[in-house]
Amino acid sequence: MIKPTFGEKVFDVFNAVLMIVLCFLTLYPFLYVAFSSLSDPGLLAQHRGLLWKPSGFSLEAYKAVFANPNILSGYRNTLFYVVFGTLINMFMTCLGAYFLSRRNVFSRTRSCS
Amino acid sequence: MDTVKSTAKSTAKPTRSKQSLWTTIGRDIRRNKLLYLMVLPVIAYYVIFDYGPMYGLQIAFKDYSPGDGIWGSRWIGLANFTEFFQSYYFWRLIRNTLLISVYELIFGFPAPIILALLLNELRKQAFKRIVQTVTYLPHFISVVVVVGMLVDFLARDGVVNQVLGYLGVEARSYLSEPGWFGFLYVSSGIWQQIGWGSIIFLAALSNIDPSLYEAAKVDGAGRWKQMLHITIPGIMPTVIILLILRMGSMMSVGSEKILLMYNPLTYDTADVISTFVYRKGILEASYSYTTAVGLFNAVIAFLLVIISNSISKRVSETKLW
Repeated sequence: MIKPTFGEKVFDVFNAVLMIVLCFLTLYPFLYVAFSSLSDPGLLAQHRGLLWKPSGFSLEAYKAVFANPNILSGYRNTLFYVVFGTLINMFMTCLGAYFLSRRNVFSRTRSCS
Repeated sequence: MDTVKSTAKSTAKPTRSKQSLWTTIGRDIRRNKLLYLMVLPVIAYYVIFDYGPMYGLQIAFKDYSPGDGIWGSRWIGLANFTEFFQSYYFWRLIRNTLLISVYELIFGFPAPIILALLLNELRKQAFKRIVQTVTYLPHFISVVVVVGMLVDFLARDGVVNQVLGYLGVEARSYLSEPGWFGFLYVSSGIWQQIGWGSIIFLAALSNIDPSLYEAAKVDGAGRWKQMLHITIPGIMPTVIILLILRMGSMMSVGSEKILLMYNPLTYDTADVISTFVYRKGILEASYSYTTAVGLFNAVIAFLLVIISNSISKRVSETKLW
């Protein structure tokens, strides 16, 4: 193993810091949404700046979500499209891919496969 | 039965070029009935959902009214096209479409490549895997949720303005300012897709022969030189293929996200051809006009794919077809 040069060490540190910053930038919006969803609406409205924990605690938002009948039908439709859409897609793709892999009409050398 | 004869004749002769394409296909079908039966649903799918609807393209050259039907409407030649080319919106739409595409090409396209290269340089495998997993996450939430978060964070009293307020920046509503649209569109796109986009490049990276690196080390190449002379040339074919695909969609900037993000205040920079077609064609029901706009767009997009493919064929060995 060649000893890393000074420049390479600096790069390693810089790279690691950059990746940590990237992870933070990716995760924080999710955390913010999660914290707000658990927060007390009144306290949240007064809160200023970044959230590091839910301000107050309330599950009212989740109650409202599950009381909405559209959520349930939305999930039912999503599942339906995912299951049948994927099935049809896979079926068609397999047929087409198999055909293309076995047949090559334009090169007659392989026409007996 | 004509085909049978000509097949027999042409097999007797050594010159195969005289045999027509249809004869070849016909003979092939007879030999492999079941295989062709298998591909029939795929062909039917394309005919029904892709090529069939092209019949309706003729309304681009007609004054379409639903009462007369597609075939029965009056021909008006290129009037729809000239109306579009002379309209106030023409240059605005072209400019916005191209600008957003170019921003995406300059900032959005290299981002996953850079991430993949940086990930590749990480020494700790566990750390690398964690970063990868974390950056994949946003790909799995729908664009509606992403835009919902943008709207919430960027509102006049949203978290971005609150934080910037501490730094003495005046609050503004970013989503209703035309100047901010391109930046927000592209940066949120990068946020969502950078991790997912890097997968394909990481796969290309892992296909590079390790002996190349060993040879480079023996020759005294540092990590920078290794990246420059082995890693980057190694992933170049993948990069070029993806670039060609990207070029082809330059004129069709995803309408979904723009439809969710824009509002009449930002039409100036946010309205692209696809959103214009949606608004005029579907909401305002001027079908012929927007079919003409869409057709014009499709022709340019098609040319772009062909051009970028032939450029790539010339400068490198990589090509789509």
